[in-house]
Amino acid sequence: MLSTKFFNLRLYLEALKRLKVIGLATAILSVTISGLIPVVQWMNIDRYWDPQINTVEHQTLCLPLYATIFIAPFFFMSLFSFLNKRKESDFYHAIPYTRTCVYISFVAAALSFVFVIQIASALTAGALWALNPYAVFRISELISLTLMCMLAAAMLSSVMMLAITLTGTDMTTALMFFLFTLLTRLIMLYASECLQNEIWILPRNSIPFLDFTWFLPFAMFSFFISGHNMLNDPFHSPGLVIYSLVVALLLFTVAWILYVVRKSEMAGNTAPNRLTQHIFRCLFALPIALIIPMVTMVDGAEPSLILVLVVITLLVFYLYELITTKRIKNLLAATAWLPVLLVACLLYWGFIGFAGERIYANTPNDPKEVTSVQIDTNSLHSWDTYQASLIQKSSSSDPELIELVMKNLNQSVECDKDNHFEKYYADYKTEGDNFEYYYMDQNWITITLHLDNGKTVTRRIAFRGEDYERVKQMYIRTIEVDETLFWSIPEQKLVDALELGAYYRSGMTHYLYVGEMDNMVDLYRTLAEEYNTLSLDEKIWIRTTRHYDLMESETKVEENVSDITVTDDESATEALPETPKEEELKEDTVIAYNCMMHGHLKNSSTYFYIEFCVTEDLLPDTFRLMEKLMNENVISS
Amino acid sequence: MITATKVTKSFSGAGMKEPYVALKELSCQIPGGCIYGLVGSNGAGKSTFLRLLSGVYQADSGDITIDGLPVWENPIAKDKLFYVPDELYFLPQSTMKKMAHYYKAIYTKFNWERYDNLTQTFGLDETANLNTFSKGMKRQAATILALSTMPDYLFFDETFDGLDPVMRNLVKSVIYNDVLERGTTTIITSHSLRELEDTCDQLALLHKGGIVFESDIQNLKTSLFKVQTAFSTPFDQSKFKTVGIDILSYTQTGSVCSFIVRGDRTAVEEKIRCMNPLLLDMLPLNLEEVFIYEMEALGYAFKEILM
Repeated sequence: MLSTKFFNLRLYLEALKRLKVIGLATAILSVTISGLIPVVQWMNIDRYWDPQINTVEHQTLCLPLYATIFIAPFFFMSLFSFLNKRKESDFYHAIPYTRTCVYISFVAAALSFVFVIQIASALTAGALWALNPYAVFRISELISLTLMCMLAAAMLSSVMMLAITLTGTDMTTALMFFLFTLLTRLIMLYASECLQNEIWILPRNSIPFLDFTWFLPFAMFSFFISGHNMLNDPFHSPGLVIYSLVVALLLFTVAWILYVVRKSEMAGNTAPNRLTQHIFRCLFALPIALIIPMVTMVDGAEPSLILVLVVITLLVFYLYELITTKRIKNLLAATAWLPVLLVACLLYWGFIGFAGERIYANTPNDPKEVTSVQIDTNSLHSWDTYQASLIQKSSSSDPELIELVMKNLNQSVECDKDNHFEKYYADYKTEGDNFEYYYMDQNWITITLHLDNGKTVTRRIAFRGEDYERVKQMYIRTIEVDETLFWSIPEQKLVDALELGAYYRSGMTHYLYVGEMDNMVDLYRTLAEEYNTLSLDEKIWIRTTRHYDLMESETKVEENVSDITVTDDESATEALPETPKEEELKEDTVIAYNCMMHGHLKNSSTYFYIEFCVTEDLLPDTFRLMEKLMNENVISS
Repeated sequence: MITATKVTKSFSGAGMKEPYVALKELSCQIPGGCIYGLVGSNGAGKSTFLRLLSGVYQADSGDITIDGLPVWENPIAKDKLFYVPDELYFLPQSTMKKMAHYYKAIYTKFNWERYDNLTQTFGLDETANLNTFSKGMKRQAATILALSTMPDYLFFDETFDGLDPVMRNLVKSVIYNDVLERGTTTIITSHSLRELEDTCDQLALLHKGGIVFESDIQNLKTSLFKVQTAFSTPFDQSKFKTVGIDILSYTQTGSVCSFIVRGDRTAVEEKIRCMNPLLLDMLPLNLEEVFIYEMEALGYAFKEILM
């Protein structure tokens, strides 16, 4: 009974057979390209470049994996295309299996085919990168990449399944897939953009799922879009993984329910009925229509732009009807639904306005209401992310600090309501007496206010120049942070990898990734042993000095020291290495090594990095070990 | 037994303002072991009814049961039946043998011996790609595969279309044998009454989503007959009504008349002979003529329904 009601192996195998054309073509291409990339890189290194050992960046590790994310939905479209053809649909609905059984068997077949291709591609890429003597890569990164691509493919496939079950022709399926993939994300992005542009005191990324990076298939491409490597984040971000998994499972479940109730006679029909056709058309035009209230809110209403958007909206609206039903007379009936778009725009406008008002209304203005403040240390630029994480959960109930925070918060709210911030950025100039910030991005701090009624409110607050420094100083003093702990380094088990670079007079060399190897453990141990013997000021110097500091002939060490430490002890700075004089250095002289420590915190899984400036004076053993490692990995031609 | 009780099925689509009602409160009972003919013009609801019986469609309202089991989403009930649609579908690039293997895995009672016998009888190449078959050959293949699943209920939608007379007779004889040997209940739809005349035990006429007429074929054929007669004296229709003859249709030209009579043929002939006719012919009716007169008696214009 189980084999006819829920899953049937024969159906599963039949589905695999049905997928053999698209499946084998994808498999051959994906596996071949996965193998070719390391081989071509190997050949090219021998012929053209100075042979060096390079760390394989994740985006080139197994390029076809990214493509499989977007090919996967077409496996489902191809397999379930029988639903759009009358006689095929009748055939599959007449056989003595429940629809649930057909659905589960077919979905399982398509998913497993995609997954097998992805795993085969990853294995091929992994094997050939491992054979490539000029490349090192992290196996864990390849595994994570494969798993994330599998999840992203499943997520996008679930969207396709939803589109398939709601439509009856291949074209409307494709259009709906495109719409469902983008619609919710676009509306969320619009809302996020509008709110963040309208309400400057609203913390950035305060609603992370509104962001496009929370849509895994897109997040995977964040490196290509923004240059920011999102890869490490999603791997260690259980929230994103769970969100993606839940969305995929939810959509597959909804699609399953719709598949069971889907009428066989829908084959060949663009929509189940006239009403759904109207809804689909409106939804299709909605992403364009909603841009109108968005641009009017964000950039102010430009009549010409609004006119263009209105025309595009109408074009999309009518073209959808014309393309899907192929009847001109239906355009008239469609017109009756245009007001729905207008109402949707007005509602959206109203919603954003209402949300903005609520945010202002929920912002406290009296210091007496606030019991303590907690600074989002990631919004500051003074400390590295490890340090920021060490004091992430600290809070201060210092009345003077609360007074200072609330004064600036009230000022920020006033400026925000009067659109001063927006005007500032629009015109690149200050307006009014309230606004005298020189470099605004540096002056925003995200602070969580703990209120006396037990609630918490998080806001971005713009601080005046002198207040900005004061609030940081006051905060660090009042949260009673242990300075020794603050400048400590994490345990080795939290460290994923070390990334090395050399400070030359002329600049930086390529980076060398040292991860998951004995070298990393050795290097970490040496660095930790030497680092722990240093004085606090030396530690601060090492953690805060960068290449440009070394190249400034008149650099004073004190300037590099973070404002957390205020020291009057001049003798402490005498022991610090002197900045080499420019004329003494040759182009290829290594003046220091740079070591970036990457890791994840134990409990929160939050990614962190710490940067060290490794000089021969302060960390001699580490310096020599790094020198050895760098030289070993540069193979002479 | 197949039981349909007040079955209604309507269709709606993106371009349709109002749903199209294909079947409206249709009720019927089809006894086991008979060949049931379903006749009706295009759009009468024949294919819709078969799809409902096969579990392809779900009725908007009403019940359909096979041996007391509901068909919709019921693999046990669906395992008892096989539906051969008007537009045949075979798996891509498949041969008859592959399809047989497929059905073997799907239908619990699939019989290889029967499959082999039937394939030999029809002389089809079971290893040839079904796409290379002609329309008629595909129909034969579908019939072989359907019968090989040893169903208790067989539904053929416009099955004899595309078959040459020889093959048509062969298919019919194979179906007869199945009914005789295994008691398979068979439903055959057609828009041609002549097609079903010599095949079915029972006939139903479907019109605008409802069965307007249903009868046993043998009774139907013998219940009506045509009389041609003439008298030397003037007469009209009342002459026959006074002696209790049930006339369905009457035409007269001068002293010659012809009429359709329902009743016992010998008794009617005896009554007319007693009137001393100049001429008397008792003529049998073909099924189409019987339908025409029965429909007219029910107030339907037969030509509008079936032509």
